[in-house]
Parts: sequence; C-alpha cells; structure tokens
Amino acid sequence: MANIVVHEKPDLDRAREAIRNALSRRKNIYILANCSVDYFGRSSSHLDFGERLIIIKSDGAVLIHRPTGHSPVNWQPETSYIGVDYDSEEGMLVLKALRTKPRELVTVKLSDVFLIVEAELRDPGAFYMHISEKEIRDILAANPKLLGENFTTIDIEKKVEPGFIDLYLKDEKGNVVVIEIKRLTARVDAVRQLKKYIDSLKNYMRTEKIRGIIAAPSITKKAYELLLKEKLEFKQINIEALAKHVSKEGKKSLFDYFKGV
Amino acid sequence: MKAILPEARAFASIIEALSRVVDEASMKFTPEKVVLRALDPAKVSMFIMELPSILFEEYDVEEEVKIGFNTAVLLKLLKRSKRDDKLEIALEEGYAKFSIIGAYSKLYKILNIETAEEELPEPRIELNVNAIIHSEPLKHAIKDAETIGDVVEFSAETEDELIIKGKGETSETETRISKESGALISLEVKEPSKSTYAIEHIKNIVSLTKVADTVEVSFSTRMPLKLAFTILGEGKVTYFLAPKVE
Repeated sequence: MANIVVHEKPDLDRAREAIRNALSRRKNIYILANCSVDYFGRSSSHLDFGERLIIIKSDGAVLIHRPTGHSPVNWQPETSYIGVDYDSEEGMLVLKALRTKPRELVTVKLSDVFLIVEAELRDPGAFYMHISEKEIRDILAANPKLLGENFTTIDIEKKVEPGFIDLYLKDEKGNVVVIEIKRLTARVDAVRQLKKYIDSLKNYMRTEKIRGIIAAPSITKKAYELLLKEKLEFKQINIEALAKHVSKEGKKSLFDYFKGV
Repeated sequence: MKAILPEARAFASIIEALSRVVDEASMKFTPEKVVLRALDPAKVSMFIMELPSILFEEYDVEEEVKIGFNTAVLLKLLKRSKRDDKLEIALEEGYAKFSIIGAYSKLYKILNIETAEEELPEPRIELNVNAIIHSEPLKHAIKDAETIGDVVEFSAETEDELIIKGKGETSETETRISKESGALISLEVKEPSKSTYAIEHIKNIVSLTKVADTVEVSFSTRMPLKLAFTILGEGKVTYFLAPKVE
C-alpha cells in the first residue's frame, strides 16, 4: 500500500521542510505551484510565472508540466543535485536541479504552493511493448549490429521469385546475408522458406557464398535440425530488448512526405 | 542498346554520390532518356538521375532496357577515367558493358543484375523555399557544419538570404548566402521556413558540386530538403532527404 503524505496549501516554510524531507528520503514528490522556470545548459530559456505541476522522482528525474499538452515544458532525466531554499529577498522558494553530464541547471522559483504530495510508490511491473514483425525488421535494418555481428544493411523486403526477403545484408567479409525474421518460435516452414529464398538468389547471383539466418526468439528442435542440415544459421533475438528501440515519434520515411503516394 | 556519353568524369561524380546512398541501383534506358531512381535502405533519402538522350554523342535505344549494377563496382571503373574521356554503355546478352574511351580503351563487362525492385514513383511535393545558389558555398557550408556537429539547419525568412547553420552541442557555424555576396542567384520564400537535416546523409552528395555550378535548394519547415543539380546543361540529378524530426 503506497505511503502518501499530503500538504494542502502549505506556507512556504512548511513547503520547504516537506520538500527537503521528501528529497532526503528519496520519495516521489508532486508539487502544484505558481512558479517560474529558468533553464541553463546547452541553450537557455526562461518561463514566466504560471501554475504548474512539478514532478521529482525517486531516481532524481525532474519534470515540469504545464496545465495543457502531453510533453513536459522542461525536464531532467537525471540529476546529481536537487535542493530547495528560501530566498528572503524575493520571498519565494527556489528549487534547483543540477545535472552534470552535460551540465544543465533548472531553477524553479515558487511563489505560491497549492499542493505537495509525498509518495513512496512501488512499481515492479514488467513492461511489454508489443511490436510487429515489421517493426522488428525496421529496428534490425537500422541497427544490424544488434544481431551480434558487424553487418551492413543493403535492402529490406527484397523481392525474389518466391517472395520477399526480410533483411538483405552484408557481413564483415563481404558475404551476402539473408535474414528471415520470426516474432514467435521459428518452425520448420520458416527454415524451408529461407532455403527457397537463398536458392532463388543463387540463380541470378554469381556469389557462391550466401549466408542464411533465421532470427527469432526461439526455434523448434526439428527446425534446428533442418537448419543445420541445410547449412543455415540461427540467431536468437530478444523482442523486449528490441522494443526499446521503437521510436515513439514514429520516424517518418521520405514517402510519408510526398503527396498522393 | 548502346549509348556514348562524352563526359565520363561527370558521370563518375554522379556515381560517386550514388554509391554513398545505395549499394545497388538500376538505370532505365528509354528511347528518350536514361532514368535512375534509388531509395536508401533507411528510406529517408532518394537519388534521382535523368539524362536526356540529347546529352549523348550516340544514343541507340530502341526499346526500354534496364541495367542493374553494383555502385561500388561501377565507381571503381569510372574513377579511372581522365578528363575528356568518353563513356560507352552497352547491353549485350545479359551483360552490361561499360567502356572508358580515351587515349586507350578500358572495357568492363559486368553481369546485368536483376535488381527486381518496384519502380519508385515520381516524387510530388511543394516546398515553400526555392533558392538557386552557386554550388561551392553549399559544399563549404556542409563541410563547415560537419566539423561542428551532426545536423545542419536550412532557413530563410526574407528573399534576401538563405542561411545554412551547423549545430553542435556547444557551438554553431553559420553560412549566409545572399545576393550581395554573389552566391545567391534567386530566392523565393512563400513562407519563412526552417528545417534540420542529418549531415551523415547530406554529405554523401557533396561530390555533385563538382559537376554542377549551380544547385536548386528547396525546403519547408519539417519537410524534406530537395537539392537539384543541373548536369552538363540538360541532365538533372535530384536528391531528397527527409527532415530530422526530434
């Protein structure tokens, strides 16, 4: 059961004590206040006074959210120092969050504090991002070294007579590498499919050496036996690890910008 | 099919830029012109080359044919060409023949690769800033930007100046291309625009500034950059690059 302490409309003295206390105990702190924000680092910015939500997480991450919009107006993913002091000249609380690499300083001046919530939150939940085979393919195409070798991507969805090759790469030695991706356990039909693609390529390419690889989270015993017999290879991929590479912004391809395509 | 291009070196510069974008490409020879369209593996940039038949000393193309090739392999041959050398391209029984004709001839015969890709559509796009500038300043602006960081920003607010900035973590470079300095030939700004692009892609086509004195630069905020180089008077090489969106 989460441990929550709430301070409603605290005066600046009480607010400072509550924040200091919560900081020293590494709690999650949520502050609703009228504040201004100054950022100094790679560039600099100033945000005039307004009513906002300040979030300080137990790991030192700091975010400042305005009343609208989903993105924080300012944030520090990590900080080496967070401190709060009372500035008697200005009659305000001054919250400073410092990051050292790169050097960035966020200074929040609080003139009025409406609410402070100190929370000790437990969150052990594992996160599963569902990604499609296409997304796995796009991530591997952009980062072929994730497959464990110094690969270079040449083409994706390469058309061959029997169908489409997921990933068409080159390895360090200059060999052609054909990859068949499976989101679930690879079975015998995946091995057969890969063999068909390679045979089709061998028909019009002079290169003798074409490597065929099945990339999947796992492979059935029968499929593996067939794989070895056909002199193909298996590389295990960790879908959860790959999911981290999915860009939430949805990186656009050039064609997304063209009209009527 | 047979075609003879009088400037092998110019073609070499085009292939040099192309080889940095894709490993394989195909040229389509029609009775009117030669067209090449290539999309990079990351699908963020496109390279288009169009050489009308009038550029060729000899152009014998009766029906449409395609020559697929490995760009690095073709570049190796073309790099050996000297000034005033001509390039002959012919197709014979499944083999593409590239010959450098000069003081003495060098012939390269390569298997015509079936690149078997779908035809890339003709890109249609309207951009707010359209500038024609000398290509040298573009080359320098990109090289300067490369020393600073990995993005380059193109911007134009008025029709007096095109600004190219290199942005890094702690520093910035700026190249102002204006009519006063003589580098700007024309500038149309339908709407003040600013857009950022990754240098790792743009720098690939810098070699095209060798073969074109001027380049058409077009862009809009958060839209692709279009660079169009006029080659040998009648030919065109166009490069599209998707913007870097944060």
